[in-house]
Amino acid sequence: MGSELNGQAAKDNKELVLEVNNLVVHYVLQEETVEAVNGISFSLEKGKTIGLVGETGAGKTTTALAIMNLVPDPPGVIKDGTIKVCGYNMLELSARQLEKIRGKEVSMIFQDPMTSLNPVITVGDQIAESIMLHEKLTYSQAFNRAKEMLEMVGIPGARATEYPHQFSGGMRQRVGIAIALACNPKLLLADEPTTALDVTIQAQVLDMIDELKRELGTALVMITHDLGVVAKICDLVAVMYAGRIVEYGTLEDVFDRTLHPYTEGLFNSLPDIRNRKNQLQPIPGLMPDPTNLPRGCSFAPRCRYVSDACREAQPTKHQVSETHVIYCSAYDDSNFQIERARGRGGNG
Amino acid sequence: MLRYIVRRLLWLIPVIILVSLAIYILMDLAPGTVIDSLITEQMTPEDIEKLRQEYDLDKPVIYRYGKYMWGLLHGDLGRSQVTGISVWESFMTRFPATLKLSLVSVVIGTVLAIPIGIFAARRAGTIWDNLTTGFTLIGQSMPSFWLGLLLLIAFAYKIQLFPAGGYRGPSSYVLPAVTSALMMTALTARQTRSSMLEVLRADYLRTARAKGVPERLVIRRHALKNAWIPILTTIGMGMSRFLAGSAVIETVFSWPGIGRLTVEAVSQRDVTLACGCVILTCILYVIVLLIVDLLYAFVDPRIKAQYASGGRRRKVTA
Repeated sequence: MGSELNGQAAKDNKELVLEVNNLVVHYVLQEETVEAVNGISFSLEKGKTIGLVGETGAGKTTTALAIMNLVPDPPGVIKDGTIKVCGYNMLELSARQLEKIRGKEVSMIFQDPMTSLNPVITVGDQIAESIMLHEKLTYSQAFNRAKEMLEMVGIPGARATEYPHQFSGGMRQRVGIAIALACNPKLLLADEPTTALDVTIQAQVLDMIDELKRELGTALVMITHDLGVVAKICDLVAVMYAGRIVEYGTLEDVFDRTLHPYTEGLFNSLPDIRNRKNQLQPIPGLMPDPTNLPRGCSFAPRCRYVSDACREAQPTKHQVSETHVIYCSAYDDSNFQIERARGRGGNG
Repeated sequence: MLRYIVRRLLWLIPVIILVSLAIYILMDLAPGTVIDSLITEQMTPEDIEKLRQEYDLDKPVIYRYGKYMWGLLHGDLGRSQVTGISVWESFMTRFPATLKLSLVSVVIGTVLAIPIGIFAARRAGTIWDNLTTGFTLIGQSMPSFWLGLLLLIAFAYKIQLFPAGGYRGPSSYVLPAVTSALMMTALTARQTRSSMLEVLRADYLRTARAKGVPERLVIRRHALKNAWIPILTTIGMGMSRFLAGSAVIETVFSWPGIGRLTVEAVSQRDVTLACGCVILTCILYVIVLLIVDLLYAFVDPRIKAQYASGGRRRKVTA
């Protein structure tokens, strides 16, 4: 599926920063195998932002770790697929080469700022470390750069000599961002960077990522389960379910011309402030057990439009427009519409 | 920080009182007295009685203890009842031998143990991990006097590679140091393994790898630094134990250290010397542990912050 998408982007002659092709990642445990990512493909141009949206356990974080080639092994095994970051084939590089690319071409902001900084190293040193490794600067030069990075994320440079425990959660996340951006990476992976933060701080951090991204021309993979975050900063959206992309398109495609039943379910479970009497319609049931995925469409057990065909075979791909792709067998019937589409006059 | 040190040192006072009291009472209960070795067959009962009075043995133990403590209060540890040499001097002539052996053992133990522990932790669950765990278990459970004797038989009698005992030149260090270092290595390696295992799962190691930090530095700079505190504690305990209680090893290898000095003093019922030795080793013990405690502050900035605020937790600046 992705090869066509990639091909399309290549035709447009845009600079591709990230190409993920048919990625399969499993966690092989003694008793069972967790099928975390089951064949996803997408690509990202320079300076663009893609949102990977989905529930907890949809395989978003695993996808990001696979892009860095940092899936914990054991138990993680990248079974299939290719990943190219700025042309480098991440899954075939030696450890040495990977070390050169990580932090330089691609870097990552982690979900929990309380645990992702080293408690016994000053924040300045943690930022400077990455600069020293990649830019071949002396320690004092790197440390000065680290101070500038801190200023850039809104922390006084003088606090570079302090330790993570002296900062609040929001500030630690800023430090995490400063570390990730220290060497002007071409690709930034942000794994739910605002989930662990207060709502007020969330907005600040998000604004900052958005601003820095524009300033530095960084491409961004934003992993989130928050559709508000997606609407705010993403150009492209990939909705993930049980390790697969179910709907892929531009922000407008996915938000205004929603086609997939799961995406519809996500929108229906959002509270509507203008219509507070409206009952929320959460998606019934739970995500299927990733150690025991159904044979057919993995969303079938929870889908309101399910048919026997869905339970039997993997969903078929429908390329709705040049940018918009869905994986849903219900659309094999050309008259099929989801309720959300009917509401807006059936314009698919 | 200073307040903390003073508080810790003040705790020595009750410890010294209790320990010395215990020694006086126990040695009084034990059969025989210090004058036993001074009595000759020619002595009349009057002579013996005179000798008893000279050593205050006619008075209750609490009197002798009080007299000793009075001296101690004035900084006087007294004189050996057998040799007449001051306790301080006897102790200090023997101390260097013990200190050197302890340092050598601790250095060997640490240098071996940390790589072994890291090795085992990084291969947790594999055959290598099981092998090292087996080795450390053996090292930990082998009695040192037994190991010492085995080594003596093997390398001093069968193959005459090292001297059988005594304190002459570097080669005489080998067997006693290996004996005591083995236990130390086993303990520290186990501690390093479990401490590293905990740290190896930490999120900040993933952050370090994501920055492109080479794996060797991820372990050395990011993981080990966080795993240090329990390791440091084990090393400190090992060091203080060597300093205070290597009596067994010193006896096996006839090493002229303070452990053997104490054993000799006890067997000759030389209460003053025994008590002085024990008090001084207590002080050494506490000081070594205090140094370890202070080292924590250098390893972990969060502990340093606590010292800085006089024990109260420092508020997080938002």
